[in-house]
Amino acid sequence: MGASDLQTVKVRDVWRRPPLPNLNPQADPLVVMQVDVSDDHATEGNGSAILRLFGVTEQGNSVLLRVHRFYHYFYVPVLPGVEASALNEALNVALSKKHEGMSHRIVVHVRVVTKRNIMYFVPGDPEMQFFRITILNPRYMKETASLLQSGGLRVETPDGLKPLPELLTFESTLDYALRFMIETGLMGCSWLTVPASKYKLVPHGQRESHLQIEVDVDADDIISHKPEGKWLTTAPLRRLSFDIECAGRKGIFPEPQHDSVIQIANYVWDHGQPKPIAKVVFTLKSCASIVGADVLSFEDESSMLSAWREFVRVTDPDILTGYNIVNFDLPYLLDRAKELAANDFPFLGRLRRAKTTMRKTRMSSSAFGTHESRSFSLHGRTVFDMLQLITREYKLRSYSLNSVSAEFLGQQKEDVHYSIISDLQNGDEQTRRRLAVYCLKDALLPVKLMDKLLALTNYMEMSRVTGIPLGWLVSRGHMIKVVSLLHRKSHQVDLLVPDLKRNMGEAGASDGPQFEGATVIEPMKGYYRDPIATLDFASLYPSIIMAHNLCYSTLIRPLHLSHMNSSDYTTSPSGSHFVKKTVKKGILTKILEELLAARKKAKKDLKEAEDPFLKSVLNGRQLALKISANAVYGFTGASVGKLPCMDISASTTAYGRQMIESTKAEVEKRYKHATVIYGDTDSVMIKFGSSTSLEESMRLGEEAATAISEVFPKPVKLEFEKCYYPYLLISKKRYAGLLWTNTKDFDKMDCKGVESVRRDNCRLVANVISTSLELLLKKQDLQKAIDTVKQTISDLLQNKIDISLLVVSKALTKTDYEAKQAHVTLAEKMRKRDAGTAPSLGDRVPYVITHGSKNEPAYSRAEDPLYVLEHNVPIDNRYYLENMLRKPLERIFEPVMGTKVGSLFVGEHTRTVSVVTSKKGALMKFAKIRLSCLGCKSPVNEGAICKYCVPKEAEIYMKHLDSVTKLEKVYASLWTECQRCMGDVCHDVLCSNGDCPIFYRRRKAQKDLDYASEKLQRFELDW
Amino acid sequence: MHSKEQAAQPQSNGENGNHAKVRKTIPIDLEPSKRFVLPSKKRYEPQYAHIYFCRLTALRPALESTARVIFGPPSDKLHHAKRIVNVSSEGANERETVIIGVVFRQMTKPSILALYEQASHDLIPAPPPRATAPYPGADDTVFLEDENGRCTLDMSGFDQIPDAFVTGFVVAVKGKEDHLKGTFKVGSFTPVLAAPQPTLKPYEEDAYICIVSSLCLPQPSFGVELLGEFLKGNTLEEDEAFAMNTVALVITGNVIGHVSDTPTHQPLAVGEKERIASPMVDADRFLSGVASTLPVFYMPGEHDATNYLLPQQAVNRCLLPSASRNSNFHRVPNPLLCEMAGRSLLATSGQNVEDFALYAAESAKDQQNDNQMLERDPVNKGMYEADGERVLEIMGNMLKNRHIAPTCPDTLGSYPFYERDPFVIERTPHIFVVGNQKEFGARRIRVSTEGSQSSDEGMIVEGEICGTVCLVSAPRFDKSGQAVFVNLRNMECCVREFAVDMQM
Repeated sequence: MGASDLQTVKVRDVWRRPPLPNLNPQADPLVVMQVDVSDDHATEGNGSAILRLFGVTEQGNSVLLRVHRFYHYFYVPVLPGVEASALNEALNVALSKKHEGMSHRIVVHVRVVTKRNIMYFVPGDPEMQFFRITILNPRYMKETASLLQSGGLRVETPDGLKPLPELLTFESTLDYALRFMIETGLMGCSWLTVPASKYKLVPHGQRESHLQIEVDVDADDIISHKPEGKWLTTAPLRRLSFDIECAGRKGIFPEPQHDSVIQIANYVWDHGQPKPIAKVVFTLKSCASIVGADVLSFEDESSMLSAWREFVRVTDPDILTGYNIVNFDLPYLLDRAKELAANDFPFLGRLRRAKTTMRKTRMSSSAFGTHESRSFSLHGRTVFDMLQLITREYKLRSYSLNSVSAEFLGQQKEDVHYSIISDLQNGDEQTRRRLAVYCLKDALLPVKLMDKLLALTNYMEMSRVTGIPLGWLVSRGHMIKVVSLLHRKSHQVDLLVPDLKRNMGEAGASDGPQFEGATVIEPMKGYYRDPIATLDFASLYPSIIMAHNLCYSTLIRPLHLSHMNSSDYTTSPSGSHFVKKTVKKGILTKILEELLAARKKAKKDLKEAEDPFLKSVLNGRQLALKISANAVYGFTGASVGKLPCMDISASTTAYGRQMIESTKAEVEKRYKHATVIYGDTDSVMIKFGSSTSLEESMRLGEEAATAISEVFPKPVKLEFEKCYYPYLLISKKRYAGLLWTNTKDFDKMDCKGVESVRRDNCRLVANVISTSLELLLKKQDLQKAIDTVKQTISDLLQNKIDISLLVVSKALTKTDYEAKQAHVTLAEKMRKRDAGTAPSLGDRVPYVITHGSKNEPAYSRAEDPLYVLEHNVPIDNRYYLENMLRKPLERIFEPVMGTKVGSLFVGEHTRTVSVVTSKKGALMKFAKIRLSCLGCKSPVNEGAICKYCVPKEAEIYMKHLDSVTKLEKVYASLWTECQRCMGDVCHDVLCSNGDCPIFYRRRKAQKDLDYASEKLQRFELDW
Repeated sequence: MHSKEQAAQPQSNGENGNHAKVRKTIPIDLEPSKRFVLPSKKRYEPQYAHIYFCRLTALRPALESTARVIFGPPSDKLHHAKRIVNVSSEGANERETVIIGVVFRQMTKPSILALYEQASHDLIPAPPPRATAPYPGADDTVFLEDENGRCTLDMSGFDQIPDAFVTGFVVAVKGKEDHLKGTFKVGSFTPVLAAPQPTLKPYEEDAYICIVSSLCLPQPSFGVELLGEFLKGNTLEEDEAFAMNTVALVITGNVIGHVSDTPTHQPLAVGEKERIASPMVDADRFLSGVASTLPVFYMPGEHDATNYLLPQQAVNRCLLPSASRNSNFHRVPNPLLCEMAGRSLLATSGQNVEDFALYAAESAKDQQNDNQMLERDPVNKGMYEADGERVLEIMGNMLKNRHIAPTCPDTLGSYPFYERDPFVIERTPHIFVVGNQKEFGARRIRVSTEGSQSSDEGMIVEGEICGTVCLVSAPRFDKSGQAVFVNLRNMECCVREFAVDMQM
């Protein structure tokens, strides 16, 4: 197939959106599910803003709503003697000085409204007057607000022109789009209707987007629907998942300044549909065709990029997805286009003239840590990077696409190292086809992951519950959700949220109370063979906030205390004062009550629902509600957040601690033999007695939960959910046990904080730990556990452990590490050996620790596992025992064995040590290999055995035969596995997926079989 | 028939005592079996992909011409695609296309990787044992692939997936690509059809080859003794001529029985070594006894003391010291290909058929609506075994597809051949034997000339010779006490039972 050109790219009709039904603006209402709001707003002739809403109809047609006549506003408290009109005038005068020659007035009007400040309860709860300052266009918001914040604005008063003091503004930092959504009651990903005759179709020539429907509407004509009942459905969102391949130079990770993009593979797949709409791969240079996929080949990279951009426009996805597209694929494409001066490329959004730009962002949040990331202006398309999402929501050993798909999809994935990619690209159309198939698979997996994890469904529900656009959930932190909830509620009840300057909030905000150790009851370490009942506070923090009416709006300043009736407020254990519910219900309480009521309803509906898609929606809903409720506490404690209030967060945790303590006291008071052995954030672990049965413990647990709940104010509720039996309590936040919720069978083994997921451990550690725990807990067989550990240690020292279990891998991030690190040193070593295959920046470097010479530090003894296999380099098994296994093992065995734990590491099983003879090394160069008898090892000249062993020949033969047949089985099972996984039987397996458990083993099987069959062959000498 | 030793029968005076009986001899050529002999320096570096590739290249030219005969020459309505990827080329949607490739079935196979996921105690799981029950989900996905690509076959037009679509067979299918689904809807298909068969030269005398498998020594077996005596000629008078006309014994595997694996990391217990060695001692005694009177061919089977991967190599002489001294005793590989009195004999020890049967088992069962095709054999570790009819059907399909071990290397272990696939049938044999089966079965099928594809067996050869193949499913001797005798003169088979009150 020759290379095609942009013009000749055959666009299949199925790639497009469904055909547009006849839409008569006079007769048909327009019903749209809103998906995105544009960050940047168009401007009308009069200077006001046009808000762009992107959405999809039920039939899957794409829509742009250009919303007119919605004005942004903010508040300042009314100042005595200042008239609204005077303030209006003064602001416009000041602003027009800055914007000389502008014909329209920036401040549209200033009105006096009656509201309250959300902060603090003031005795009598008086209303206050505020100026609401409405401005023409949100782009002037910041400067308008700052005129008032910085003070000095001269306003005409009855006493003449007077400078204003510094004023606290309210709600000026609220996003324009969010302000619009709050005002119209529009939630994220929810439906809206524009009645017939209330919208105007934009004629084709004047359209600013590529969408199927583009209309002008008035903000007041938008009717939004709560996502309930018939509006619970979702429109079919279109997803484009893509993956690019780049031709790197030998040994260097691809750089857009030098290395071309050679392939872009795509899957277009509507959400909720069983099959994709398009499977298309764009290739640089010809590529043999692939059944079921379209291959579009180009001789020129710029044409390929342009064609892809065209493809994006034609398929018109709502969502762009992939794996690491935010930090690799998208930036690479944009940078590469810049390098090639492909100026028509960066128009990937939905607006014709809006160039796609990117900027670096830094997102810090207590929950996710600090991340450097990028954001893109894609106008109407939401970027949904599955890597970001998975790193956020799941804690895994490794986040490579290989291990993530192994984890969630249960499939290992072939991995082609980028050093091979260039070779494949430089081959012929067949090798490029090979690459394309691989690339397609990488484009498919993110969609599969998204569906498997219900990521899109759950995020859409989160968007509906919290009322923020879908894209913000991905690009912004946790806080924005609560900001939206808080503003929505405040808007309803006429409360105003002040604009706090960052870090200007409460004193001592640098370290939030959520970092204070939440452990209340020190663990009584040990191995418990009796059932341990666990009482949990259901949604502890939300219920504390509700029970004690903790809120911004109920917090009383100390100065007002004297004016308060002491029966009207409570003082929290941390010393803050909040007014009681009977006087004024806090807004946080209201928000939480609604969230929890909605969750109850969602759960009830979920039980009744039958349609699987609806079920997943409802499940997503209840999850989103739970997460949102729990986020409220974090929001009040986030020192860099929008509205931190340490009084609330500190009081919440203080109440929590107090409740755990009083639970302990209550339990030990009510049950004579009971001991509380540990209490964490929201749970207490109770041992009811030394020989209490499981049934009895469960019954007592149930009883205690009900009884003790009475002690606490509503809605705090203590629940009994599970027993641990047996239970291994290692230390704070580290424990393991079998979890029982019924008396018949345990549910699972529950491990917290135990070394099994940490990725800087080798697999051996995780395996030994989980095996030991399994034996200790499931089998309750201490002796067997000890024996297994000893056996493993013995195997380790005798070199019988598979190398894949010993591999540690670390990402190579910076070349100039100050401290010497194993993987950095190894990467250097490998570069000297062969620059072509050596790992480069960004790669994960797998290594094992080898023997090395005496006193050589561990970091310089790291070696490439493949090299170790190839050259029989001896592994430093002692190092693994002492530095990797010992500590974790001691931790879990100490509670069981006490001081005898040391016996695991000394004794008979540690005496036999074997070290393989290296084929590399100084001495080996001079050694001459001589045949020896396979029976008695005495030297022989030829054949298998010496003359003295002849009588035993059959026996010796059988021994060697046995090892050959065993190895043959291993060999065959491993290599057929890889051949199957590759999805192709006619080509060699190229996979370099070091995360796969059989990657090293299959190589070893080859070597071992070679060696063993060579020995066996010596018996065949006289065939 | 029962062959009983009787007191009245004059006994032979030992091994060397010869009566008037004269053992017939025939010319035997073992040269063709070389294709199954591995080089002395084995290489495990090459990957399995090469076998598939060699298989495809070996069979494609013949299959292309068969496809032209069966489906008709290329026309406006029919496109013969050179390679699978050419399917979606211009206009292919409008007309039917013929594509050729290797079949690959995706289903739940024994998988070592799956064991890693379950493994809690095994740090390094041992390879899974061979499947003993039909592969579940065998209908899930059928792929056809060549060196350029793979496509999913839509087999919805078939009630059950035909035998030709067992992993590893090379077939030609005619149908249309469904671009949207990315599948190829199969309308009809054809195997390559049987390979040319050498002319069968007349051989006018009765000469029997005796075929047994699963002697399973050292099980105390009176039957084995009887068989030995019979072959030596120590038998009833009326059988004597028959016995002396038996010209060779072919043992299709499993002279010794299944020995449970002993873990290697533990030292062998006292007496254990002897126990492991003893079957070989018994075997040596038996084989050397028989070989003193007629040629014996010992093919290894699954349980014999040799390598595991196919082709299995001849059992080492050191295990059979006395038999090996006899020039009548031949240690041969499994599979075996040789010529006896001008008849070509192809034999395997049964693994190929056993594994094959696991593919089509479920669907075959549905069709038959009872378990006629397959039964669970309680004695043999619950292994599914096909009955005689089914085995013959499978063997016929192997001939039609010119391949005796299609599931190698996917579900049947194989040596990683690099430049050839020795399991491809280059010439249709005159006799095709599969050992270690549940029951005896034999059939002669016609190998007809080109053009008469409508004959019963649907066989076509490229040559002009009209011939027949004698298919033999040799039963397990330990279960049935039966040995099969094939008359080289007329290819007729009979079975004799050497057992008194065999307990099944």
